[in-house]
Amino acid sequence: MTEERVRKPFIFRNYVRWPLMFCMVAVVLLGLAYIFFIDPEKSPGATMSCFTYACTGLYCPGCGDTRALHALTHGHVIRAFDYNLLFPFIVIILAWYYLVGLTTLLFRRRVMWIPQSIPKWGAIGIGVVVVLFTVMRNIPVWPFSILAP
Amino acid sequence: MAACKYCGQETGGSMFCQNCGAKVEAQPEVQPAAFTPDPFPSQPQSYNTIPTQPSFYTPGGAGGLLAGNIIAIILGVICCCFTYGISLIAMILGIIGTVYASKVKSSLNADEERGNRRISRILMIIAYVVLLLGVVAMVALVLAASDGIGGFKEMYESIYESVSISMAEAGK
Repeated sequence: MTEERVRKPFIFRNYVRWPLMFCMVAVVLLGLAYIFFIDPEKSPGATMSCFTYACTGLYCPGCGDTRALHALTHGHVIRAFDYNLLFPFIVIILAWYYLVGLTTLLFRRRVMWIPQSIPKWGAIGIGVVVVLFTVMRNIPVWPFSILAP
Repeated sequence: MAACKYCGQETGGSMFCQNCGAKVEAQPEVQPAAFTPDPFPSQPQSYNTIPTQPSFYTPGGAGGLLAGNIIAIILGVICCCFTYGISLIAMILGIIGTVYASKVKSSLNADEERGNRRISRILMIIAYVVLLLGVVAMVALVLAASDGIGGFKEMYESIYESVSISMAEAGK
């Protein structure tokens, strides 16, 4: 009696998952190392600045991300909030999904929890928060100027 | 009491009709009329039927779709810096895709689940395509307006310097 071999999904095959995991870890470590050693404020040419701000003078919702990431890699959480209020929350969500992907590839099944649904008001609320944040950080009046990078 | 089929007179239980003399037992048997229900019943029909058991449908998980759409939202916010805000379209598509991915878990049947999954997947793919196109278009536009990579850096620095000077003068 022969046993039927179950074909693994493409992404779980060894010749795919090991290089993919290596690339995921290498890119993140290299990127974090680069941001750790390069200070965007002292070396503005070493990192990409905001095109939107350069051409329009308006802060986009991503302005200050690089500086916030540099502060986070050095452990300055409050300074990271100062550069971009939304960025630490973005980092937490991205890091969580990054670990989910990495562990799924490593163990060939999902071992970490991910949400299966979020309320409708939650999804729409994210967009509203981003738009409000963008508008408020461009108001040059205290206390809104605190949100500017 | 049986009646004669030929003359209609009652036979009185005898084998021969007393009126016409026909043999009672030789007469063809009359089939009883078929029952026909009254199409207009005087009494209303009873609605006391046994309720059928509700069918419970268990949809599959949509964590991967939800994750893809949430990451599209986040990338739409982060990439706003170098796409002139085009990535905000990806953010909006990601938000709508997230709503449909969340509806998968509360689907009542397989068709509804399939439809929600399809819409969420399509919106997620379009969001990532918009992100990619935004970045590619930005780089192509800047390279086309300058003399390659070296010219791009000089052009970018001159724009940045001019805007900074004008902002500083406006602040005075």
